[in-house]
Amino acid sequence: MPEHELEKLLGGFAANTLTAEERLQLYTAALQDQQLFNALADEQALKELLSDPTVRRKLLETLSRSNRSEAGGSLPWWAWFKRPAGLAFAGGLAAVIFALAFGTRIYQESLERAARPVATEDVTQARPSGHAPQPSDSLRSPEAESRLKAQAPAESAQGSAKSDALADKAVKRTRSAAAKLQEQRAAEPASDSAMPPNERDESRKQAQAPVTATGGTTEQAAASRNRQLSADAPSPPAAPGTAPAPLQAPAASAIAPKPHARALFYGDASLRADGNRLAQGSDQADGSARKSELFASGGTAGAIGHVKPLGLRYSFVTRGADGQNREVSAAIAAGSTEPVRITVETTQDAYLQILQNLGSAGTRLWWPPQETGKISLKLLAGKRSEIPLPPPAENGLLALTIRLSPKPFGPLTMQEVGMLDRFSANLLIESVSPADPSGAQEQATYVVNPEASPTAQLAVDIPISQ
Amino acid sequence: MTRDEIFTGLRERILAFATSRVSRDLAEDLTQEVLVVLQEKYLRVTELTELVPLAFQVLRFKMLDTHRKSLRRGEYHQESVDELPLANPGDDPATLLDQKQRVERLLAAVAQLGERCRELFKWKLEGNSFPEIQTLMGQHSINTIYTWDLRCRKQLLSLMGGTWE
Repeated sequence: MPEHELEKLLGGFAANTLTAEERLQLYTAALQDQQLFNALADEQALKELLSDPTVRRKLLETLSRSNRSEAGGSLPWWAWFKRPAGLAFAGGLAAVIFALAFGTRIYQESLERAARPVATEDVTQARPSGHAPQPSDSLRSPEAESRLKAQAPAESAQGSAKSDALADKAVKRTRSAAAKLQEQRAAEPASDSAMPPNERDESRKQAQAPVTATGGTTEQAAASRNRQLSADAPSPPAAPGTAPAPLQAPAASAIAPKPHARALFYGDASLRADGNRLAQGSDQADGSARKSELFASGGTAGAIGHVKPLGLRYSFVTRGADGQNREVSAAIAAGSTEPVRITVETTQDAYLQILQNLGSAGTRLWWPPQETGKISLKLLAGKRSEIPLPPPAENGLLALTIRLSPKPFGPLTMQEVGMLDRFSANLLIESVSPADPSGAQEQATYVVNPEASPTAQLAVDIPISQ
Repeated sequence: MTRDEIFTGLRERILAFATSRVSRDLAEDLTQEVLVVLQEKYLRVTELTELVPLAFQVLRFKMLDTHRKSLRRGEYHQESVDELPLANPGDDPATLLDQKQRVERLLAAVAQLGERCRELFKWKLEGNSFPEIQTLMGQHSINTIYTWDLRCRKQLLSLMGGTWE
């Protein structure tokens, strides 16, 4: 052993376990090396301790006890997490739980989102009949019924495989939604019976209050409720006379949910005539004023509930040969040589943004213009605003995205642009043109977010030219 | 190596060591006293492997005696000798307490050692030499045992507060 490594023998010196050879090497070196000698002299204290049999026995007991406790595995449970393997396992387990929890939630949300349009239609269809004193609610007015009847033969006459498949799918969805509703209804008596008699009576009174307030009777309410049920459920054996209509109505509403957007926008079927009249250029000012009054008086609240849904009406307007403004379709607007403007109108005071899709170049804010320094334009309920159309992008594409929110928008980020579709998932969109069987004299599109929330927004894409 | 040669070497090392701990005069006295003891009481001890550890032991006792004598004479506290009790030839309570505290510190330090160090220390306390420990621990090289023992000793010394005293 080299001399500089002789200090490794110091441990053996204290424990007095050096072999004769090691001892000779160490002591000979100590006589030559002062540092080694000093180390040995210092080690003498430990050697003295270890030479005491009592101390040696205590030390051995301590060492044996420590070994036993380790071998016996009596460590506290949290000591397991101090080990690297335990930490890795705990981290992996946490990641799996996290992924499962959020993955399941996201999956459920996507399922709900996929099923919501039909379900929402059913609810909005059922809700007015519960409040209306007469069977002819806003969604099932004679005009709407005639339109549905007119559509039904036309659709059956077409008989295309695609529409059949769509109808089947919609009926299935409606049935599943109706089944859920029936389950809820079935659960109602149970909850009623669980309530004390006094509370039960009060709750029934509260449930009947809207009906009596509007002059209806409990029979009428029951009838409307039955009608609502039959509209949802496709098995009405108790009312054979009304059997065909409920079967057709959900299917029609599922296949063509668009017609309800306009009704929801105006909130009452009686307003449609006004809406039609408003579309005419001659009495546009009067119509706007009356519509503003109707919006302000909350006329929509009685028909669709107390919270007005956020709705948008937009159309393209150009000047005709007679100098009058007229509404045109998007295709005509795209090919028009005259300046085209887009008119927008909302159901409630809201903030508007119009974004222009520039294709691969991204998206830019078209309205309000940059010169104004504003990010969004405030629109008053029922008041139409005209906004000029932007020039097409370099690739000839002219596509807009209209955003509407009850609250002012913040600065637009790329991430926000990519997430706009979440505001357009459940929208009801209805395009109305003079060629419609209803005879509407307007060329406009109604977009309504049926979500009755004060924070509901909407975003709608308008492809004008490809 | 003859006894005289060993004595020469021992004198030089003991003086240097004592000088690093006490004053030069006291260190020379200490060295002289150690050699006197070795010469008069252990005349028949001639082997290097016996003389050197014996010298360490005598040196430690002499230094402790000197320390106690200085304490007794009040050289540290400058107190009157007349007020101090007579010296007990055996271990005084302070020494016993010191010894007890050292043992407790050593036990606590040993309990904090790692598994390998405790195992190594246990083999040593059971009287096994390094080659035997090498076999017991299944190591091919004895240098591994030396290195482990050096590290464990340093760790134990650190846990003891840097000194065995």
